[in-house]
Amino acid sequence: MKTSFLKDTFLFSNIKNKNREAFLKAYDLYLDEIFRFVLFKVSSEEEAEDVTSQVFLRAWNHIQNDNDIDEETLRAWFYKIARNTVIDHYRYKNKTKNTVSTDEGETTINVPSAEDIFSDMAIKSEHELVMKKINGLKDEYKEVIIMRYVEELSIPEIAHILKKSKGNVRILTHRALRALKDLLES
Amino acid sequence: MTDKNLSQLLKEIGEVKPSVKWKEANRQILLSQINSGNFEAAKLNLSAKTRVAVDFIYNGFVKQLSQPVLATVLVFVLLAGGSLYSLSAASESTPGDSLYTAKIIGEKTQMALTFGDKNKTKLNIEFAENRVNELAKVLSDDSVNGEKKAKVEKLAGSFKKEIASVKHRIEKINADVKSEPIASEPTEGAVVAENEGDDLVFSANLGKGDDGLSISDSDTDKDKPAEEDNTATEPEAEIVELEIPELKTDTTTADIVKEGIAVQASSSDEAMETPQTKSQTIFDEAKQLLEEENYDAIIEKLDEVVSHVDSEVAQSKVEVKGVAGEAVEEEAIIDEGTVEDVAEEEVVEDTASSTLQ
Repeated sequence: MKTSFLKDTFLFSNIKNKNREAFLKAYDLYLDEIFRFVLFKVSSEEEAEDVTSQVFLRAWNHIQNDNDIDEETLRAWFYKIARNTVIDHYRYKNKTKNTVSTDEGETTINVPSAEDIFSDMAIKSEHELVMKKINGLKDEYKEVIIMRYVEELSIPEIAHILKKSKGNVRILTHRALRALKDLLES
Repeated sequence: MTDKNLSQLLKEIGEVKPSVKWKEANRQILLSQINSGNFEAAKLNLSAKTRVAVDFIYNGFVKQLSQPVLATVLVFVLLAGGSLYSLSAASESTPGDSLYTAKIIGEKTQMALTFGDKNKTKLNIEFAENRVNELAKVLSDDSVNGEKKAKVEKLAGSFKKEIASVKHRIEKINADVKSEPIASEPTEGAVVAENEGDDLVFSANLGKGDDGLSISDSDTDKDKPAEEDNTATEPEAEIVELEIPELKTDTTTADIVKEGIAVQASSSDEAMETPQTKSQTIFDEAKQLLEEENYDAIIEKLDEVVSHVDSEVAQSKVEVKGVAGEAVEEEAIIDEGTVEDVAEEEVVEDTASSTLQ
């Protein structure tokens, strides 16, 4: 879903001034794509839901604590928070896993993978294949493929989220797409 | 799989959504967390509204527009600034300098971009002034003795051209004024003065000798008998009044035989010390007269400066043809006048012009 730039800017201006209604509107507007973005990075729908909930709560806390916001768009801001939340989620998960394995030995929880979720959602076989291949890419490529081609973020937005130069992002997306094609052809 | 297919597939993957049930449940949780007492309730008062508006306008419009606009403005500023800087750097140059061509091109551009005879006349006067300043610089510079003559000749030529342009323009302006019905009723005297003003160009031709100054007739009247002591054909016009005070101050010690155009001067060091300032003053007066649309008086002023420049050139002992040698009105002789004396020649010129009126 493409959100108009002015709508994004208007909501962002209001959110910076701690407007709850604006924040809820932003939640409705960006929930789906943040969820998808997270889903590609975590291994289950359940995890994706948890992480996505945390993303929005973190965003609100960030506003309430009067922290500086240097992102130019609301969308980029949510993506950045989502990225950090996923990283923190993995850190926490690793820590817990180590603790669990020490205490209880090998305990594996059977959670559905991203591909399983998509198959549940009646996705065509082609989509499923592409999904699998995207998940086979390295994280850096996976991320830009999702942002650039699935969610259609602009190059400057991605550059801002990843803290890279625009030229760098262009090269990265190009390489990522080529890598995905190679995987699909192999 | 083609690129188009792949990008289409990737877009379709973007249509995947979380379950509506979870979305609703999570919204409620978030709402309760936002509304819980942990967070300060945000009220949108007037100042907050203003902040929102300012933020929105800045991020939504100003910031977005400012980048391309800023870049364009910068390019223009650099281009214009660069050319202006070069021109200003060139303004002090003299012939032979690498930037002199830039200066001349700058002048030509300025002329091309100026409209109206009056404005163009003003520019011509300014450019003539530039030539005089350059001339003064070249003359005062002893390091370029070899090229001095060529430079002085070149500058004198350009100066003459500028003066000729001014005269041509003034003639044109006068012609236009006369063609207008309202302006067609000047007094007879004024008409005569105008006509004479158009044609008369007189100057000291100092290249001819060291011990005398001769003022010759203009091209068309060259065959007139020379050495007329008193050629006053008309009563002194009001224009002369402009010249008199200056004439007096410059020649306080000069022995002037006004009616006979014979001058014996002993000193006028003041004028010699600041020849450039003198020309400057004349140019300033000429510009002032242009503002007042007193065209005949401008001609007088220009003649004055032409003779002044001529004398400067002669003083420098550089053999250069008289700047306005071919365009003089009257011929007169200064008795025992020393050519080096600037003020002396001006007296001659001024007196000559006054007698012509």
